[in-house]
Amino acid sequence: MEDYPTEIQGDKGYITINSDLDSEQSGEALRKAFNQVFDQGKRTIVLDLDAVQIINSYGIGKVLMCYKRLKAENGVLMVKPLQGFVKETFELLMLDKLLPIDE
Amino acid sequence: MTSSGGSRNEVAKGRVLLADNDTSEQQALGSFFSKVGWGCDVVDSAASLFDALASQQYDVVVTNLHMPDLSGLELLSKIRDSEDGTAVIVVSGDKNFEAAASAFDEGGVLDFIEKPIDFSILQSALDRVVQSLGQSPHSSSFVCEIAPVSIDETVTSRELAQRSVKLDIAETLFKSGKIDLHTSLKMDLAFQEAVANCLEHGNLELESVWREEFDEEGRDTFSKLKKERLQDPHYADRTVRIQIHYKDNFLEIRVHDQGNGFLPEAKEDGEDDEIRVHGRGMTIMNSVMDDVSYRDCGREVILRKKMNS
Repeated sequence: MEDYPTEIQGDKGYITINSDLDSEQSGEALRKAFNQVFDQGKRTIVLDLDAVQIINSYGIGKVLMCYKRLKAENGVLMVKPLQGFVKETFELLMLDKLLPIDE
Repeated sequence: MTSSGGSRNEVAKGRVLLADNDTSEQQALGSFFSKVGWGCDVVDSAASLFDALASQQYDVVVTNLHMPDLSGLELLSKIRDSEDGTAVIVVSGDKNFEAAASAFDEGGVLDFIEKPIDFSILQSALDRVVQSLGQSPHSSSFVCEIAPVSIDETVTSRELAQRSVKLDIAETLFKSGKIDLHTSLKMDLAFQEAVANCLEHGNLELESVWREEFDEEGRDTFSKLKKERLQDPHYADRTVRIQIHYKDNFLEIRVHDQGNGFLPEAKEDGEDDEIRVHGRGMTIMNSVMDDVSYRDCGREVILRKKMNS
């Protein structure tokens, strides 16, 4: 699996997740992309999940790991506006209240 | 032209002709159509779109407005002249185009979806196509009965960790028209949660709290211990038994591990949202199944759901 693209804009780091988030490979790609941005000192990181159609427990777990690591350093994990099944799943698990939207 | 999502002989919602010259859009949309049970042919130019329309019948054309060999209005004009009742969904990143094109669309065959595509909106548009086709679809039947399913499989933790787990009956139920897409995806998710719980918390005796302990490279204790225990015969040789039975619109899934068992805890009043996410597997299972119960001191989870007939 290819790495997820990352981008720095001002104080924020952006990670574009361009595959379904439902496997160990995609979880590892997210961890690597997160480290890349985190190691550049960014403590506000935004996940773009627009291309994700399927997310499972494993993927949700990896997103929460990102959240925990940022929270431990008073950082914030945000998400781009969600849609479809991902939005429904986040709302079901109340993750929408945990992760602010980056408009 | 490339094809995906099965032939006309398979159970399918219908057949889509997708016209887009952007390969990433082709992949994303092609994958979506396949997942929601539509067969799909893909072309990358206006010329090949009209060739395909002339040679085959489709239930719906989904086209990018910006094709390399024809302008947007010319494309719509030609589609309108050539179509024979085929529904058309136009995908465009141009927000101003919809109003002009709607006025142009005298026949009312067009539907517009703005980029970036919200797949739930596309799903709704496809649902409208199915409704409009009524009793005379071009492709195979939309609703069908499903033959009984009976699966009883026992695998070691080592084997289970190396394979992807999927509830195929959920996809079959969706494709047969018995459940909607999101219910199908959630049922699959609930099944995966049940299996993961039995493997990780049951057989491998891993605790959720270890997911929150990280080393300097962001690797969590849970994942590290999981790898270690999958190498240890004490844990890795323990088995998970998966039973899936479907008959007469009733689905029962049983997943049984060989761990130490557990008692599912009820959520206490006052627990905050953050605590709730630890029990996300149970939240998902309870949200989509009619009944979730445990046997053998928590070593076996039983999921049941009755479909509409």
